[in-house]
Amino acid sequence: MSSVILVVDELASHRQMIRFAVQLPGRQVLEAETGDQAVSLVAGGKIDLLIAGCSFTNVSCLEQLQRLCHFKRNETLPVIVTSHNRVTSDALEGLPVGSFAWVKKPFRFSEIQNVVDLALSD
Amino acid sequence: MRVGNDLLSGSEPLVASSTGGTSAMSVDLAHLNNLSALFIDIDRMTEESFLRLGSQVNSFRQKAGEISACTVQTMQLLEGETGEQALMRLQLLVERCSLWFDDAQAHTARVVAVLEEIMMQLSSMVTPLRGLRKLVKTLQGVRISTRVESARVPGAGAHVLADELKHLTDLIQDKVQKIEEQFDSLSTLSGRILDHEKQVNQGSMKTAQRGIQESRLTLSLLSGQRLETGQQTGTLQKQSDGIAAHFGEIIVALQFQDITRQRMEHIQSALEDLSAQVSPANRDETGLSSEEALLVTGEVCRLQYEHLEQVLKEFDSAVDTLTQNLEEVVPRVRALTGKSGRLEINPDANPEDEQLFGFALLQTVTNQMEDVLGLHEDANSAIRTVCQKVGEITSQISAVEFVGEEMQLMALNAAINAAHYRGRGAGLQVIAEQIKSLADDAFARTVELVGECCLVTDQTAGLERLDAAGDQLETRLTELMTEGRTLFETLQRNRQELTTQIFEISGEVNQFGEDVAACLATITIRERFRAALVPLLDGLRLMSHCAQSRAEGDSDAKAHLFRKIHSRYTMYSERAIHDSLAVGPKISDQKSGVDRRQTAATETEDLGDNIEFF
Repeated sequence: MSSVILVVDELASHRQMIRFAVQLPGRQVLEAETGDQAVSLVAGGKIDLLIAGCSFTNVSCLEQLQRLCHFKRNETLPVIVTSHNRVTSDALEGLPVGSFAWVKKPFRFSEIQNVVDLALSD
Repeated sequence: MRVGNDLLSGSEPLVASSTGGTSAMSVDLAHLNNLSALFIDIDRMTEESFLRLGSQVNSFRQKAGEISACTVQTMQLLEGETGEQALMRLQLLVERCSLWFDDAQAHTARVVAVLEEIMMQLSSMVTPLRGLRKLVKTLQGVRISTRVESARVPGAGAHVLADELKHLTDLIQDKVQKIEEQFDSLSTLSGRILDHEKQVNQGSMKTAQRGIQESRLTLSLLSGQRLETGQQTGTLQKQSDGIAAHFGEIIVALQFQDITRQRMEHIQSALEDLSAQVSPANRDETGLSSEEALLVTGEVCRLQYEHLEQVLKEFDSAVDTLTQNLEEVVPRVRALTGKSGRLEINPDANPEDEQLFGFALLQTVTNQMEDVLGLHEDANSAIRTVCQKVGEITSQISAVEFVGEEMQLMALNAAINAAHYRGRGAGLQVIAEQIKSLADDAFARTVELVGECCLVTDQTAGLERLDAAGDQLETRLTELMTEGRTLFETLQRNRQELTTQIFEISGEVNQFGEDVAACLATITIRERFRAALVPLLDGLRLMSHCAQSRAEGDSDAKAHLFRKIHSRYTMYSERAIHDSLAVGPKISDQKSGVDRRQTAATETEDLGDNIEFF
């Protein structure tokens, strides 16, 4: 059964880069530019992993995650956040997420690949 | 992201213009808004360029990965069942052929031993045969004497004796002649086979041993070449993997677009905020005089101009790094080209000749094996002929034996007749005694001959074992030839596949090099970005200059206002960047995010430099 990865980032080139890094046989990569698009995709079907790029949108990163995870209240959704500054565990309190990882931007291919492999193997 | 709705809110009272606002100068809001609109086009342009570049570099990464995958397939061909394994089996086959010759040599030795023994037995038959010949001559003499005696003593039965003696003499002469003829042909046959077996067999053995040695050498060379190719292929694979990883790093290095974008967004937000602040509609709220609006506009535009110059420098530097990384790949790809060229297994040789040569050598070996086997079959056949002829000799000897018995009776009759004639039969008595003696002699010779014939026959008793050993050799030979042919065909196919694979790799690598070089030549992202920023930079400089040249006011007031702008705008804007990135415990409180972030960082266990798990 193929794994479905949802990549959310404003920048198309970032989404493309993450796609290049993580797309392998047996994996499907979906892309969303905005939080709204991401919420539609999460609500519409099975998502095995969420990779969210934090940027300067009006809605903060955690608010995006909250909206996304609203549809996963009874499930755990592994989330990987990519941002320039560190995300602390305190900030995640109260969010119904699964395994969680923060990858600092700019990251290497191998770093994002390893984290994705780990998230999907859990 | 907006810097803030109120640039100077919560601050000290504004500095009033010393001129009392006599100038009716106002900020060129339209121009300011036009500048702000340029950011959208720049963003779109950079996004498209980065997408295109990222896609191109990823295609290179994939190409390097494909080349690596091809090398893996090549290694499988070299090391797999149809490659190295088949070659090893062929080398083993050559050794098995060598063992076959050892066994064939042992078999030959046994055949030669049998033949030599037969020759020895045959030579032992010479003496009794000579004896029989002599006996025949003596018998002829006795026959004449008997004729004479029959004339002398008619009625004593000597003439009957003479007739019978003639008959027996003729008979025995005929048999002895036949025996001699058989014996001669037997000796000739055995001697010929023995010589042929020794000379030709040795010749075949020597040729075969040479063939085996050359086969060993050829296969060893081939194995060495394939090993070399394997090593080159392994190196090529590592280099391809390295190049693929390098391209991966180039892709991730494109992330500098994010920083550029953030800075551009920030500058855009600042201009939009400025536009709101100095707009006549809002000036009542902000309390800015037109003079102050000009001052603020001029200074903010100047600051943004400096920021934009910094953005351009950073972008240039990042593109330099990108170009350098791409340029570094070119010699590595060239090295790849060189490596792929050395993959050919003995590139100067005609592939078909090389394989055929090796096969021809092994064919020589198997031909010799067939010759040796043929000789053994001839030898076995000859030995059977020997048996048959010995059988015929034996039957002739039986006839001679019968003659001997007849002669015994004849001698008895002659002795009886001699006794009847008393004195006159003395001659007959002598003849009778002579005949008896000859009969005894004949008997002894035949016994001797029969003995020798039995010995010859005994030698052939082990012939069945020789036959069985010969059959085994023949079976093994067939198996070796079949296996050898199969292995050669397998290796030939393997070589063809390898050649195709290597040709494909060379083609891919050559094209790869050209593509990377072409990509380098078409990277225009720096020029395009610079070209896009030029109107923005010019516009900001113009606005700043115009605004500042029109603004009046004393230098102290200006300085005080500028300090506020700098402290509020620059620090606030930078802080806002960090706050929007940092996620603190209270999402709504972004102003104190920096301090809280620093505290959290010390408390959370860090599992790595760039990655953290929760």
